Amino acid sequence: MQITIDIDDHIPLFAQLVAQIKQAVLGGSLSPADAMPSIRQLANDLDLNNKTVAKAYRLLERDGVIEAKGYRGSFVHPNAKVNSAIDLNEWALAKLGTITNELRDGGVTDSEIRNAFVKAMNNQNTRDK
Amino acid sequence: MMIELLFYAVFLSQIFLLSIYYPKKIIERNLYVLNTYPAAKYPKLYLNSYFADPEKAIKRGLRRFAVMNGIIAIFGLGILASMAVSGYLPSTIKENENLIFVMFFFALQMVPHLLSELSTWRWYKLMREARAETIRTADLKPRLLFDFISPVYVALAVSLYVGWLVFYIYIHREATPWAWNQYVSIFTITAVNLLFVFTVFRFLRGQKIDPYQASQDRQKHIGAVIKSHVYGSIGMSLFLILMELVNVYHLDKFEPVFLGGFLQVMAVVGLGTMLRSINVKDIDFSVYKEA
Repeated sequence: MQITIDIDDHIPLFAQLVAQIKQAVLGGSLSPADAMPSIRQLANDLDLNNKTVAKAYRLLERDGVIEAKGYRGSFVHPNAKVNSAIDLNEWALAKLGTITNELRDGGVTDSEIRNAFVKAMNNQNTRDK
Repeated sequence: MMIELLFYAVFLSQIFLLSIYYPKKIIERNLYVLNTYPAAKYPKLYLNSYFADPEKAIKRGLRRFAVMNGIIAIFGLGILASMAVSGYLPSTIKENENLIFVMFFFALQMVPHLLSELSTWRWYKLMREARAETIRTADLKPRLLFDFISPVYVALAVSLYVGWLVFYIYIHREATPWAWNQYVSIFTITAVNLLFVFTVFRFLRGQKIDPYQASQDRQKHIGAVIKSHVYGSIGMSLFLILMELVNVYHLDKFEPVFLGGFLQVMAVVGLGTMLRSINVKDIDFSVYKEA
């Protein structure tokens, strides 16, 4: 199984990696428990920064597509196929859409919603730090 | 007389193997690529942007390589002839003098090979810099050491290194305090083995040397490098143990013969394994065509 990235594409490199690995899982090229290449190996093969590949791996781990097993490396998650089908961007968009509609129904204007969203994000970020 | 015959035979075979046989193989290989995959059809292989006529530059390099090896071979044959004419008897010379002589000639023989390796390395560096494609591919599979070589050979290499170290310390246990050359021996052999380990992992995990190389060719290349280094480490440890035994049993007169033989075995293991494992006719040259 080969992965191909285009460094001139408008899609960020880490996102290309994530999408292709998910595609490989959905297509059956990668099966649960398959070993993944190390971050360094993949970064060197694609001539990318280690941090770009590490970011893609972090997102894949968060999405339950791969799992890190300490020094043994990363492996395809047992539920990777189901988890790969879930698009978190779509899910976030749907959630925000529902909340936006509720707020509009309550009479809140779009600019107030935007300001509240920015404030909420900033508060969240401050709390995280 | 036995030592004399062996010494001359080993020296002659060293000249043939390193200055005639392998250079001829390397030149034939390069000429095959030049004639079968010309620069006009395979521009990515030839750095057209750097050289006005890359084929001419390669042919000039090959000619230089052939001439250097030819001169060294003639020099070696001249030494052998003068030895024979002057009635030189290796068995009457202090063994260290013969060892230095064999080592010096081997080092001289390696010069054109080293220069050729350096220019190949530079060629690949320029290829990486000149690469304009934005599409990059990689295998989504980990490269593990034991995919390329049996664990038995790796275990053997490690055991023989440890075995030599223990044997060396045991043999020299009474010569305390040690002279500096004993520390140097241990340090050098350990450093060489560590360099082997570094090279193996550099090939396993490191950057692609040839940016266009097809996946299956890269696998073969990595496999050949790993095998040559592991076999090289095994050969080196065996040789060192043998040399210690030679000293223990006072067979010092055979040392130059063993050293000459060992250096040739190392050449066969290194150069030979690489040339055998990567058959030029099996390499996928379509990757060097214009996209």
